[in-house]
Amino acid sequence: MSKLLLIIIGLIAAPFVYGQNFNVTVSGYVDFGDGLTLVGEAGSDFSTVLESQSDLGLTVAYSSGSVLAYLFNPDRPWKLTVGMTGSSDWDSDVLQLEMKRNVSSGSLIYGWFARPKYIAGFENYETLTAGINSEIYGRHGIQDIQFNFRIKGASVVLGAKDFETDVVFTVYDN
Amino acid sequence: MKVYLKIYNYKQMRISSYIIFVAFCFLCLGKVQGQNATANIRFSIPEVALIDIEPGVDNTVHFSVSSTTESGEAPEVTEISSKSLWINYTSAQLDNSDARSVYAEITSGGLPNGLELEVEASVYKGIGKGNMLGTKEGKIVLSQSPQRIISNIKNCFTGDGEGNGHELTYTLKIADYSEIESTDDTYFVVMYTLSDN
Repeated sequence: MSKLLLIIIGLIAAPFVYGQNFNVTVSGYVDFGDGLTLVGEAGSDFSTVLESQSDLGLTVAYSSGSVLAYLFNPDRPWKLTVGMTGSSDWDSDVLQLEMKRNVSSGSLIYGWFARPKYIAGFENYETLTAGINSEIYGRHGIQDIQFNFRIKGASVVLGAKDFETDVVFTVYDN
Repeated sequence: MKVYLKIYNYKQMRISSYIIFVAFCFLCLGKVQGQNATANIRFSIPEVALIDIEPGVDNTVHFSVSSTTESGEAPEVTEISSKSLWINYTSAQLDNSDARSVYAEITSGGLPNGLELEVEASVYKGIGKGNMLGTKEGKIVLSQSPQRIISNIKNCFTGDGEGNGHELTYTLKIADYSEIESTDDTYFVVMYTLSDN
């Protein structure tokens, strides 16, 4: 009977011990506002760097979302890759998209038994490409990691139109 | 009794195998899967059409028509203040828009009778960029009607300040001696417009 009990406990605990996938979610928006509407003087171009007023928040959480998962298995490491999707609405020969993590942002999810928050990568602006970019490393679940974006190369030479691309964050158990 | 024990061990083995299998599956899932989230980035470049004359202040051009000291000779036209004036512009258009042009016209005041004022824009010079900086149209005689002096302007900027864009050259000519009269100083304004056609 006691063996059967152990087996049942093992079955219940197994997901929390081994099966902690992560998921990543993004909320908020990236807004470049009216930064490009002003050309100071006839004959001039836009300012060379356009900074976002970003309210983008990213959360890396245990897939189960259960308190038990964080309790039984805290500090599980993860890796976040960052990529840009190619888009016909983005002139990648001219436009450079750069991203920086707000280093003071982010807080632990159910962090009572976890070590202090750890997250590394993108402390300074880095240019994003469609290929391999730098990665972000962390452990445990962290919510509301904030990022700032800036664009270089915006110019009247590109003509009046909308530009759009996606930044894809992919989380892996590390 | 022996038969019962054998059955029990067999069941225990099946359950243990099941546990190992489930744990292995969770372990594998945790290591392999990657999950995505996407942030959309967008911004817009608005239409822009800006033009000015450099220098922006004190850009008056002053001509004088004086009588000669020798009877029988034509009056002399001289440019008293010889200033270098430049047209600067910035242009951004929607796709498939017609190229823009710069037009010149006299908007206030008027020329004394018998005189003509010509203006010509130089070819583009400067530090600007663009796929289509403007093309000069040649010399025109200024009037109250707009006339094209630069054409084929698309998405570009000339650079700001003197030495960038198109330099303007004014020439005052006596068109009809029979209409020349003595007058006080006459002022008139030449306006330049960056237009969508």
